[in-house]
Amino acid sequence: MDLISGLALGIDTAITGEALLYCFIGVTVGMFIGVLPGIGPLAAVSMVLPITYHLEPMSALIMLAGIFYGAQYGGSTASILLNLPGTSTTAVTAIDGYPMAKQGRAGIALFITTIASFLGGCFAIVLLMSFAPLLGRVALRFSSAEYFSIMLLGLVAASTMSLGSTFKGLVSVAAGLLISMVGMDPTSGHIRFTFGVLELQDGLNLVAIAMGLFGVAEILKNAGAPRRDTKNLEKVRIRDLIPTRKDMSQSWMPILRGAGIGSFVGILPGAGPTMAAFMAYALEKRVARDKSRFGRGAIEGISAPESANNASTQAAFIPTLSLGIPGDAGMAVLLGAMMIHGIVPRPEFFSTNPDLFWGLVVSFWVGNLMLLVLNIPLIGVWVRILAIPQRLLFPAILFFICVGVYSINNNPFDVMVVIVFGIAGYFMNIFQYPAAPLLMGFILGPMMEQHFRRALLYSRGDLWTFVDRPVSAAFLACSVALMVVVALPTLRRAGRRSLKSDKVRDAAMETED
Amino acid sequence: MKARTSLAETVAAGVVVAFGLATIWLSSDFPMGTVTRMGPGYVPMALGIIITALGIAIALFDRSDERPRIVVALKPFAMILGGILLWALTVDRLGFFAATAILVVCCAVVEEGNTWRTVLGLVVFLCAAGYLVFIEGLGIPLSAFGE
Repeated sequence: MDLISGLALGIDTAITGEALLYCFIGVTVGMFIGVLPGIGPLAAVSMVLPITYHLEPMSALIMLAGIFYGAQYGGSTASILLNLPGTSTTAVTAIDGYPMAKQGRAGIALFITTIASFLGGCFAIVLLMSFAPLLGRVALRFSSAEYFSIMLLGLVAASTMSLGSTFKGLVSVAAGLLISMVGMDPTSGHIRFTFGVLELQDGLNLVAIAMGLFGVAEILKNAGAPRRDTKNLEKVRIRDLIPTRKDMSQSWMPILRGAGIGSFVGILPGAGPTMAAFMAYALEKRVARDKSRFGRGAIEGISAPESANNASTQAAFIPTLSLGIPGDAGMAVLLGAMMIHGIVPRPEFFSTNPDLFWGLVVSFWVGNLMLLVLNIPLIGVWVRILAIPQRLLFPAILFFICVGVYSINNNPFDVMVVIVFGIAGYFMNIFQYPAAPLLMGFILGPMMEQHFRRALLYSRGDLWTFVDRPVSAAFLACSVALMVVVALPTLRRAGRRSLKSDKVRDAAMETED
Repeated sequence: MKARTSLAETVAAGVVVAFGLATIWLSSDFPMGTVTRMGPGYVPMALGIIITALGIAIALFDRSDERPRIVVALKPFAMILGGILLWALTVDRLGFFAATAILVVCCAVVEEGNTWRTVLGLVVFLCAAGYLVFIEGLGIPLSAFGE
């Protein structure tokens, strides 16, 4: 199917009353979650996931995807106005965004970040439209051996490329794989790790784990903390938003560079929007003539990372939709949601479900346009949302977590699972064991096992099949190379220093996704 | 750079090792099989060994630049987890409204600035919204007032 007829099909599917409504709900919820510090898109998506069980798959996907990219738009608001990242992916925006706000240029910063997010997103959607079907065609020749190796690369990348210790990331992945084995083994029918609990026989629930690790753990960390300082929240009026001509001309190139970096990082397995934003910032600093302006309100310091994080979020759909391999934990949750609806993204996806793919693509355009409209004229509303006190917000979020998890199986048992993973996530956070790789391991674990067994079945038990097939061998080689390179501590120290200031890294560590 | 792991970090690594050893111990009950025909115990055993090894590696080699700040705020921790637990235990017997009230009160008391008015308002709002969205809208079989 070519681009034009694809788009026509997509417009037919995505421009209906129902699809538009769910797209709107998705981007608004995403924006809302993005604006509020302390709760990230992963928690939001898992909170909404049980509700989408009751929807058509198309509407469900449009809405869930909207939450992800909506959050990238919203996150910068808190970064700029409060010096607190709304989501980890916009942590880097605070470095120059907050100084801009202090200089009375908050409105301009908000305007530029919105435009940058929009352009970055558009750039990546064009890539998605042109390359995802091509990649799908190449991947048609993939067999189980390739799939196993590429998933392994994804997991290794997710654990090694996260900020912080490689070992800890690997422990997370391994624990996630292990947790995915709780319940009945599909091959042998053996019951594993249930400790006699009947409810565990079907395995642990993705939503319960995600809400524990990313919802409850975050709230436990921030609960009872002194109130956010919202006193210096200024009113932002529409006429404050208009940037000067100099601002615009200084922003074009950084936005383009950010879009390029973001798209590249988004396609890579294991590297998410947080890393894209950091890399875009580092690049701007390197190419700038006057480096001293950074950290004092340089406009390139906000436009490049904002363009990059949104481009990365959109580009992450390329491997997810064409190969069924999620690049980061967020995409992994989305993949889990698709499988719940009986859609398995794989290369055949483009020929078997063209309406879903093109509908989703068109909904991205629509959603990004909606966000542009939501952001620029309505900026005052979002600024006011920042002032919602934590003391009302946290009980409400916990309430939605409880009801949402209960509704999956209509069973309070899953709520207990949330508590266990909330405690686990809390302590993982303190000791800087990243939680996102755990979730990826949990989701990819059963798929990897299936492909591993199938590959061995085809090769009649010959393990060399993974190395004999060149594409599979290349992925395996990349995985090994990644582990070796990243484990070399000297390299890591050097990279660490050039990338980020301590404070921002702390913020990024906290809710990395 | 002078950086040493703190005692707490080592204890955390110890927990990882214990987790790995427990996995090995539990999976030794399952049939192992061979590499090409793996039994249900094969992969869990391998993961147990990997986790144990990583835990030891973290304890011995991992040097983080900054030490984690380990401040567990006990009251919020207990009240929030307790609130969720009580919700799960009471929702079927006492009903959705009562369980929600308990949860909200537990969580609201740990945040400064809440008065009984704001808490009451929040309870009423969440009960009403939850009733409309989840029970009426999505048809989730929760009873408002219990059995």
